[in-house]
Amino acid sequence: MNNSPYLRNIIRFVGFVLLQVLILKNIEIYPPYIHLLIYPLFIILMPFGMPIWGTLFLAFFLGISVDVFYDSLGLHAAASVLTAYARSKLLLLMEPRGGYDPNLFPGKNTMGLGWFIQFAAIVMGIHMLFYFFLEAFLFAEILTVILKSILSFFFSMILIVIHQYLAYPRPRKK
Amino acid sequence: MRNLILFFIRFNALFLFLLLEIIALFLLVQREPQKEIFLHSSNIVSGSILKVYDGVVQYTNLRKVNANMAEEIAWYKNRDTTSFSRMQSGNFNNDSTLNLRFEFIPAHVINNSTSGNNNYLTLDKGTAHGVVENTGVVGGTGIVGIVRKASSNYAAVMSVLHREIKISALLKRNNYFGSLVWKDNHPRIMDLDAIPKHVEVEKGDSVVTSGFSTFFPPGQMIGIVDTAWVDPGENFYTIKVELSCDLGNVQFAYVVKHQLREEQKDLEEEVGYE
Repeated sequence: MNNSPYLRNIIRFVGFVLLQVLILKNIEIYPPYIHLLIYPLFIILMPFGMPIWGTLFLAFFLGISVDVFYDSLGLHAAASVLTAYARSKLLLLMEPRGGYDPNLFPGKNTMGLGWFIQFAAIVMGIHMLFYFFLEAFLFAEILTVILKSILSFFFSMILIVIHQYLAYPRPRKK
Repeated sequence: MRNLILFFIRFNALFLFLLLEIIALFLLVQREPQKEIFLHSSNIVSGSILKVYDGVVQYTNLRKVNANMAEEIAWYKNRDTTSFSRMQSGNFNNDSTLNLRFEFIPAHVINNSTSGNNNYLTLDKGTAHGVVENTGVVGGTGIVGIVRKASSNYAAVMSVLHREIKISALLKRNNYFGSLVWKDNHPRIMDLDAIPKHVEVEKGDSVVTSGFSTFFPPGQMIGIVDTAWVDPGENFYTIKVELSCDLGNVQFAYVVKHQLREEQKDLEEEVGYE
């Protein structure tokens, strides 16, 4: 569509935040254990060549933007910053032989579906657990936290995989 | 010194991470209102985005809104003085100098949530329309929450579905009062605490506001008793109240402005109430 990484990431940032706060926020299912979170996908999809400080700052502003609409100042921001830091460590662990191409970003077409799902699942898992722990702020509700995390994780992962197929339908030719 | 600088450069990502994390957690735990106002959903940017969005989706909800409005009108008609025939009473006193105690300001709900542990709503009326902080909000069929912050055009409302909410409520049948809190995550069930076990409570009893707290006028409908039991060894009931107002689809609400609130608060503080 367009090749400018700046423009692409700006559109993604605004798009994911609006999708999160205007649509997914209003999908409420009883029992209220399923929170669909799509905005962490922005952190997952940042380019490989992005410096760590850049991902941390962007994650912080992403979280704050979502918080403004959720009236939960700091909650999503704290979870996003942790997620971004964990992602940078995870990228080092999962680095393929020959390293990453700094111009690309994680996705099923660049790294393969198996690798991407594994990567996204770990990042989302960390985000979900930390987010729900912070939200509850109590260890007494640990079972609820785990139940919420598992259910929300499962449904959010489905969204992420759907996004991969909708946004990048054909494998890109090298 | 050189080693120290090298140390910081080597771990700068970790330090930045810790710094941002601490800022975020600090924002999360600090509750000083002035700092928060700026980034609150009552602020002008997110408020306007939500208002535009609400303007679009409003049309898809019109059928439901109409049904709710009709229900609401019926509720008021049922309570209108013309709906009652007045019984002749000995000392009936028609007083034209009655003080206006409660003023209802109608508002439109433009943001809402019911699925978190601490839920909030945003209304499209603010200080410019007479909304002030710490006033109650009622819907057509029951109470909705308490205004926590108001900017000039928007108000952020703490929903009754909030872990810190505590509303003074009473059982209409026998006037015993307790406090209403939200413990289950169910958006229509709240708990009425501190009703002693000798009181008779039955399924279907009405629970209304007591009017003690200055947030709500007395006698506003809250809900009906769903289940009530006394746990062994306890002196108080565990009462589950089914809310009469469905917070999940509330579209219009009224901010209840207590005209004499300051006077009552000042007096109570002077004597040293909690």
